[in-house]
Amino acid sequence: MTHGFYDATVPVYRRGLNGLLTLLARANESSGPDANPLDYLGSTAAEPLRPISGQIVISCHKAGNDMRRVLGRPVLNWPSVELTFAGVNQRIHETCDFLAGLGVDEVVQAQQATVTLGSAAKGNLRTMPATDFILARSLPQFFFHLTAVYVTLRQAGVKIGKPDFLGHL
Amino acid sequence: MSARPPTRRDGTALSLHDVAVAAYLRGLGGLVRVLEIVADHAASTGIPAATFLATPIVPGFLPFGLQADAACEHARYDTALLLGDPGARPPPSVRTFDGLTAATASAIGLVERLDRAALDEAGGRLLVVNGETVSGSDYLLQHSIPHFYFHLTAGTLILRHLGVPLDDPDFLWAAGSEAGAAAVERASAGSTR
Repeated sequence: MTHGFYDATVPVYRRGLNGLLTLLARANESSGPDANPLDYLGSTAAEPLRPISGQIVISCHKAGNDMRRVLGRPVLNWPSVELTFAGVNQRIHETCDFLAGLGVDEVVQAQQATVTLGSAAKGNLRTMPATDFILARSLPQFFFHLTAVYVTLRQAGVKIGKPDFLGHL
Repeated sequence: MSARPPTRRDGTALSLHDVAVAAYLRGLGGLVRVLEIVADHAASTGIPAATFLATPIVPGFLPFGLQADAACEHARYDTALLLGDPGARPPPSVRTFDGLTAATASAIGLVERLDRAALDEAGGRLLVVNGETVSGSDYLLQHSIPHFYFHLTAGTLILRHLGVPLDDPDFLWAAGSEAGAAAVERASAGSTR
């Protein structure tokens, strides 16, 4: 690992989000003339999971906002609106662009940061090292939500395989 | 016992061993918890535990037992690949419930015994995987661990679909918690017997 914390985060999130874009492209192709890719966005793998559109938004927040938290930057609040197919693609691209713009040094230095979660009002305020926050919470949850999108699309009959998403291994 | 997440407060850079071993142990510890919940659910419903391992929810999509075995295999094989030549990657094995529990404990034992210096050094060497040249560390971080999490998550979603009461998606990453760490300890003790 040449760049420590950077190598463990930015390229990993970017690769996952690119896989998500490929999945959505496959869903769009396979939707055909008589089905709308938007139908898939409302599908859900198993209750009480959120539908795909929500899973995608959370995936973007795990990648983008969790990195903003460790970098001490304000988090992005996207308006809660019903998303179109183009809309979710746009959010993934925005998140990829944000990650691509992060410098190696600033991320490596953020390894020293702490992150505060919860709220004083709710009495659940807690602080943890940035490394724990990202590696033990954010990245596993990121992959959870990406995989939920994959499984939901499979259940909906979209012709995809794991290599479309994560590459061959 | 290194299932707790990596914390480097001394300012030294995270190493591959810090990141990768913690990820595998956390995920495998979560799998130990999942298997305990499956066993409890099987006992309370009278449905054989084997049914939860073998029932697919989508045609062509591996059932939970094979997803879980694939996750164990990523932890074992992918790290072995960095450290030498482990031979061909075996396909996921159909296992009994006890066999899967043992395979999970075995994978935890293997990951816990990975040599820090050897793994960190291997992270800097290049390897060719499916025609792509990657560093050992990128192989684990960008390929192996995402696939590992994929299989764990897919297995969890399949079990939920089959009615196993896994209410909190976060439980899967619970090895950092008290219950998860205790589960890893139990599995780890079993693997060294």
